[in-house]
Amino acid sequence: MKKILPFILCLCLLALSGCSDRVELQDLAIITAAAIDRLEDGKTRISIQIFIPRSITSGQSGEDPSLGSTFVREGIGDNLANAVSMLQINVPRKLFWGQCKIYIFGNKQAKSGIRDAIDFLARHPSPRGTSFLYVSEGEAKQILTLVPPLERYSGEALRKLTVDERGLITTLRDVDMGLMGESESVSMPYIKTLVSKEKGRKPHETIPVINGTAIFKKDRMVGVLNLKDTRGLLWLKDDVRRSTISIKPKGEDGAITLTPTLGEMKVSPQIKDGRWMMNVSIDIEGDIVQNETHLNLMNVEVMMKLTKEYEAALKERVTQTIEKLQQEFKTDVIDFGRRFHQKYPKEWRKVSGKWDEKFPEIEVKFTVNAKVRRPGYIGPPAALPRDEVKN
Amino acid sequence: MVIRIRRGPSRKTTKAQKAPKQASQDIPLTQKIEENIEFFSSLYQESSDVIFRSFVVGEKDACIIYIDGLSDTQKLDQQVLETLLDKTEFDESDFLLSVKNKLPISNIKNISTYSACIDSIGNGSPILLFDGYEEALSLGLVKYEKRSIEEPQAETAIRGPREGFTESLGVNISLLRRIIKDPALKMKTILVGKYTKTKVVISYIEGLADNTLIEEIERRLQTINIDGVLESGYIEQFIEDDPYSPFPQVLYTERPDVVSANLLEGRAILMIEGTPFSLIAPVSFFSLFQSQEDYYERFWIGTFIRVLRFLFLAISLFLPSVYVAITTFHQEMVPPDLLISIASAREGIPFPAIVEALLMEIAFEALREAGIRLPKQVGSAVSIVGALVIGQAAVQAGIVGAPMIIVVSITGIASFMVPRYSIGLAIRLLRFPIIILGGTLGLIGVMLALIILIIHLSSLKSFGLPYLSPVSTVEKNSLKDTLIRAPLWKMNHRPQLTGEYKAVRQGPNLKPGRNKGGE
Repeated sequence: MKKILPFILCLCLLALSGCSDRVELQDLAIITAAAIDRLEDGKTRISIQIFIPRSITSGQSGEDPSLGSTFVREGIGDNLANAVSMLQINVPRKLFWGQCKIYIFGNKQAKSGIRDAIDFLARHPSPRGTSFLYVSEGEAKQILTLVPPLERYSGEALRKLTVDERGLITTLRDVDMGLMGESESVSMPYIKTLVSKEKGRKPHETIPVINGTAIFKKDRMVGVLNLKDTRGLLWLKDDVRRSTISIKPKGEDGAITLTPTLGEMKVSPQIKDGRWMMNVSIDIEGDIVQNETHLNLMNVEVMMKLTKEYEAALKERVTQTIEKLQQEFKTDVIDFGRRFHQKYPKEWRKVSGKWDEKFPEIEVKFTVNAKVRRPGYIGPPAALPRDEVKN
Repeated sequence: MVIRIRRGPSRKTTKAQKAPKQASQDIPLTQKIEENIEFFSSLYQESSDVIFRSFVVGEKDACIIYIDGLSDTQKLDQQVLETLLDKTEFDESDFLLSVKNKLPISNIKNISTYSACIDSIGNGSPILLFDGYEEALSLGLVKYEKRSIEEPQAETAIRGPREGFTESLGVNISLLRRIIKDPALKMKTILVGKYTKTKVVISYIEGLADNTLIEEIERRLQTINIDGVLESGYIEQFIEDDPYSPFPQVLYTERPDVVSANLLEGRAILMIEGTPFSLIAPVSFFSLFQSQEDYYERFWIGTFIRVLRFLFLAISLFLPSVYVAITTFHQEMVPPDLLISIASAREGIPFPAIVEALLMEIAFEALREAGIRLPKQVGSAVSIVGALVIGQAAVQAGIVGAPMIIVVSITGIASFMVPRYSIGLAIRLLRFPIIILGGTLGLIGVMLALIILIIHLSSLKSFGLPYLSPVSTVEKNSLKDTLIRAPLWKMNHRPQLTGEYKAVRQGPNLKPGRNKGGE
């Protein structure tokens, strides 16, 4: 008996305590994306996109492809927590938040403040800290109902767009930290529904695309940067992955287009005689992807000139963005505040409460150091008689 | 035929039983041949295969006793009877010696007790009795039908000798002697089994093997008191250190090259009459993952395959349980695309994942077992039907999810990666409790199983050798032959086993190179 007793006790451990939190996949409603909107009456509505596993069973597919493999359910409540608790009522399976990597805020919600929602998402154990946050043009729920022609559901399309393509990545943790940090501001990708011009496709058979950057001051959205300024912002955040820059050399009709390959940005704050300055130096390399001019790129002098123009173009771009941030939004989404705090903690203490007043006054100096490494497979312009090539 | 193995008696009673039995059989032969024949015929009563052939040599009565089928009757007739019945004169003063000198047989012995006579007859050596002498002659004319030397079926190799051991102990010893010619190769014989009297040969190389190890093996063999030994497994189960462990603590092989390699590393070999399988002791966990081909092929390949084996050991032990644990407890851990694929495949499956896993694993084990039992012609049909048709049908009928089929198949293949069948059996067995743990406690359960396994393995010993050595004992030189297989010219030391041993096994600086020949 003495020998069997521990064995029985171990068995009890498995039989009694185990299995209690076991959930089969068949009993889970996998949430792929969530949208948070503010309604007219001030209530919060959360909409979730739930994946239908039956829809992609191989072989027998009787489903209408235009219906997509997801459906949307919503819950309404005084705040996000209440709204989420209302969700479960309309879904027969247990809601599973573990794989939800997309949270979209509606325009109205973003303008009226997102702090409460962020608190819920960060406090709740299920949402991931690495999930992506977006602000949508108009109602966020609309984004969830889209049926992408290529991906399985719109959440996946959005995630792939963010990870693989140009654009800003803002995670839940970034927002939490950004709002807590020195600048008390944060930026999020601003998305809209892509209008498909294809005939025969229904209007909802399209995907959400990134159309700029929403700028948050404190927890409220104060404005939107357009795509071009977003590119500048990415330069400032040292986060450029894919982009092109076109320059027009003097005396030429066409433009030369480059794509940056390697880039390094250094930011060094400086306080001199009470003037707050920020020195931003960008080291960049680029490849030429298109040459519309008649210039021969194999010529060293042409290349030198080109490099200068390339630097100037880049400088103009970032200057434009920083001016917009400083003058129009007065919002430090590029975290200059933290840099000053790190280097000049004493001086920082004086301005810490009124950084949004100080930020527009900062002088930002750009030094761009560009190199054009590869003119591509061909040197002189293609499809042009030799005598028309300018050296 | 059912052999009952007596497990109960402790060592004291064993000795007590042995003593009177030996006394009764150690009676010397008498001078009167009638009495001797009387004794044997009463002993071999109702044994129609025992032949008593009485005849007269000169003026003396003589008798040959042998068992039909065990002895070479042709030689007995031509070389023994013909010589003796011939009107040859024998020296009366030393009759036995003169008979011995006349008989053209090399292996001929004088024996003087009944028990020795019985052993001799049982082994197939006819005995020759003469009236008036207290001694008999045992004639070494053993001959019985045996299988020819074939390539071992269970341990095939692409590269390496194609010889395998057979059921005949003499052949096996000769195979070994042909590989290791040094007289330091010793063979000690011990008889085990009250009725089978099976010869068990302890083979080792003097100077390489630890003497205390040989003594210990001998001692353990001598305490075995059972009816019979039909296979090496009988011996294995009586000499193990930890009989309750699922892990084999003694290795078996039917390859003479594997046996020789182990002899040269200082291990002892037990060869058992009547089975092609020899036992190797002591072994560690890591020797279960060494295949002879690791050493025959280039060391890069040997190392790669070793690493692969350990990887698949982990897969075959843990893949089903990890799959069950993740799909029922930790859905967050799976990348979203994969989770969605798994969820779609599992949609509409009526069973929980753990039941599904157990169902498929048991079905797979049943198929495997049936494949061994069935006649060869039917066996292949069953494996095809089992693997393809049942799996496919189960998925289409929505009873089992396709990912589970994949998991079970990978696991099944993985358990064959281990070159030693006995450890593969242990892994197959252990998979089930781990699946249950993974299905009830999630990954915590799997980790629990892993921890229990490691604790158990570290506590095991094989004839005094820690089971996880040389990794647990951190023997620098022996580590060259565990997870990796170092080049042969770098393995200058024998693995550290128990006790005293001769460490250096080859000359230094054996690394070949371009300059070696021209120097």
